[in-house]
Amino acid sequence: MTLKEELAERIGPGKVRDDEITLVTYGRICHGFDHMAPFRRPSLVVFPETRQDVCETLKIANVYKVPVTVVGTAPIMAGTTEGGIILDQRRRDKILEINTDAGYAVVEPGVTFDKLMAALKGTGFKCSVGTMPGSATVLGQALSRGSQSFSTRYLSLVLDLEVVLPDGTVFTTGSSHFDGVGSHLRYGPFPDMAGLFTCGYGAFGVVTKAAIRIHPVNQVYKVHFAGFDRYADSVEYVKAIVGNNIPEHAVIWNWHMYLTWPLSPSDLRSWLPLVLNSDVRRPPEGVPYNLVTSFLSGYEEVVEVYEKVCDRVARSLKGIVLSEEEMARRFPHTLSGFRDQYGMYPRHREAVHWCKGRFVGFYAFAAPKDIKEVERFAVDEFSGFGSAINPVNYYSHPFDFGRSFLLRIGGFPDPRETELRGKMLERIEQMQEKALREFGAVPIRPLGMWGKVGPFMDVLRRIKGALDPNNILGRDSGLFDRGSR
Amino acid sequence: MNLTLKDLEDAARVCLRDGRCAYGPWPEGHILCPLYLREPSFTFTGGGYLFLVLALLEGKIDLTEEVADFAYSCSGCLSCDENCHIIASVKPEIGIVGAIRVLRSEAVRKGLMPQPIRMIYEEVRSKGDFGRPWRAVFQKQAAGNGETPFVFAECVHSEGTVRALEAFERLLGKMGVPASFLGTKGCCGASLYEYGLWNRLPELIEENCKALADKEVCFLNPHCQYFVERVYARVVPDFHVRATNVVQFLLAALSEGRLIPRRKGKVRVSYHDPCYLGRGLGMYEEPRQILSLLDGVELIEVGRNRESSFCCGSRIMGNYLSRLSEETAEERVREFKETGADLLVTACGDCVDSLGRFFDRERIRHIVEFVDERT
Repeated sequence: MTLKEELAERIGPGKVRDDEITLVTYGRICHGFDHMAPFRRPSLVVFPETRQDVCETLKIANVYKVPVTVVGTAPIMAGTTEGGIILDQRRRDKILEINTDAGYAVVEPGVTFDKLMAALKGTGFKCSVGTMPGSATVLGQALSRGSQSFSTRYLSLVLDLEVVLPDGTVFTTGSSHFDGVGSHLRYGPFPDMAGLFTCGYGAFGVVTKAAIRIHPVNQVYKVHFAGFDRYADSVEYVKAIVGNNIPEHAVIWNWHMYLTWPLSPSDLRSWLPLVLNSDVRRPPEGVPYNLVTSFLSGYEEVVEVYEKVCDRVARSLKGIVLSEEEMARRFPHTLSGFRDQYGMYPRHREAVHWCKGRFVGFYAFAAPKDIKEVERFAVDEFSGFGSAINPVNYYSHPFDFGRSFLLRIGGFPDPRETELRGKMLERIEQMQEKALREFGAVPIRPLGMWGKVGPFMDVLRRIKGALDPNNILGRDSGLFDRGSR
Repeated sequence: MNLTLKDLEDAARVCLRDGRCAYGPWPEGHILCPLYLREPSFTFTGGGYLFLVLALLEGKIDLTEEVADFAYSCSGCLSCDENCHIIASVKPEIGIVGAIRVLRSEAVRKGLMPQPIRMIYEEVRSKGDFGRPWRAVFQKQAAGNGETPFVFAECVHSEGTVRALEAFERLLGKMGVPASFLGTKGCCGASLYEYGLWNRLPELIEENCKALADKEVCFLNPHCQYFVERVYARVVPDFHVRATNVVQFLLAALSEGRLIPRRKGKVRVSYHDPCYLGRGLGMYEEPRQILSLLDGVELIEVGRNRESSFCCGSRIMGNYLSRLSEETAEERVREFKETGADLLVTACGDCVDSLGRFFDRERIRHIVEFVDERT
């Protein structure tokens, strides 16, 4: 019996595909951040519909020692393995529970932000969102610990995970590992195992269910806009208001991004020319270099006071306050986009920029004083690539009440400009090294960083060896250098 | 119509692979792609087709009978183009469905096509087109009087369209309007275009342009209207036609009192939005307004309606997923039955026939028939 036959017998023939068309279309399923990613033809694509299907697949893969790569819809970073199995979890897309008492939703791996947001409508709760398209999966975002709103307060969306290990063992990581207990608590009396599977890129186990944080929609919510001519002032402003528990979250946007990101594709065509021919370091007269959006919410009286505080602090740090009326007059598309972002989160978002080119980006976390240096350095570097990579978008926001700041900056070169894109990727690798060395800036992904974390990788390898002795999971996911462990 | 796979490369390379193209608009987010509903997999999305094109260009797979069968398994319902804004921004004149048509034309060039397409191919080869003009004898007497539009009755492939045309003729009689049917080649070329049978298409279009240019033409088949309005000008750049759809014509007639609704018993109807009338031509409200003007008619919407409408499966010619056309129609009928409505009304003869395969034909009406019954 072949691997396919055995799998089909155990989980059902409709869930296993090996036709040529399926295999070649999955040969580059790795997310479109880089279409230059190598083509790797899998031997099978499996579509589990139950947790048991996942268990059976892993057990059989272990017997045959066939590598398995897990995807939600399209993995951001994980590369697939030539000849391996791709475990596509998109059919597992049920929202199992929305708990409005404790504030969490239990979702299967294929649930998208669009789906969760729609389900939350009318419940009085919302979920944290980032700049990804609404068709991204909640778990993809949560497990790759991407940037999102509410990271000001919480570093992770995850409360509780259900995981299948390579040998088929199933366990949960949070409070639900006690029989009959819900998923309201990430940290119990034992070590926080959810951490092993976030940014584990599918190398330790397959997450089959997750409880993620959802947040109450307060009586009143409002977005406060403040403009700054210097990033350093923006950071000081955000530090001050976050440190005083003012906003739910705050984001610093550079002018290329706030002018273009919230647009619809048709609007993008009218606005993009201004941005395409500009130097990101020098905004036109009257266009603030940074716009800081602070999401204020709570009881009506409190939000009124918060607004006044934001006004005062922004002005004290050389900022200007932009009222809604002024935003509507000067930056109508931006205002409309932010209304959507903070209101209902429709499907346009950063994806709009992909109409212009392929994203190539640099990410770094740094302490507040260092992030200012990182920004200056990164903006200079990106400007050096010339206007062909415009818009040079960045956003930046605090994590964990401002202990650390993220800067994420990227350009959008034409997909056909492979030479330019190659140069950018090479330069960004050098930038990561320099930012780490000179500014203590920590990268968001492990690529190229394996040798810089001391014995940490050795510990990680030992854990991997214990959980996955045949190294079947996420072999080319990038957690370990060149598929080793 | 001179496009090749190479022309699709840029568009294919910008696909984000996130499956957005398979779903309808937020917040409902219904699955609208018939392929994806049946087989939820990246392969069976618009993006899957684009990645197949890339794989073909890179020599990762050959253009085989299976690939051709896959190409004809798309219903061409346009929901992917409606919901993905990325591909349209790179190749607005092609889009995802257009890319699939190019793939089909490449298959045809290699002589690879499923049996139903081969039959059309042979007919075109022998006759020069795929026409089914309605009442050819009558057309010879036709002449526009300058006040009423010509009725485009060329591509009468479905029983549903025949019934609609007969009803339309009666309606024109009630209004005292002389019917002027346009008879030329008997084929606008829409089906040939959709199925990648492009060899004889430019000459057919050029010929039709001469007959249609600057006339006011009323279309019953939204596929024909979409094709004539959107594609003819690409072949004959200065071509212009004043196109109107029968739903617009009837709505005007009812609104202006040229057609008088009769008092009839109460009936609950559900309306199926045809893909090319809705997504293609943007006419969602006109049919609903017509229904609202008729006496005793209560409209009960199906779950997936307007921009979120689900296809009837009529144009699925491939069999890469067995019984896909049938299951697509069955799915739509199931959704209709859930409404509890007495009648299913639609505005495309192809939809009438396709849905009629799995439903009591007496409970399906082309909107023209329905207006005829109730005026």
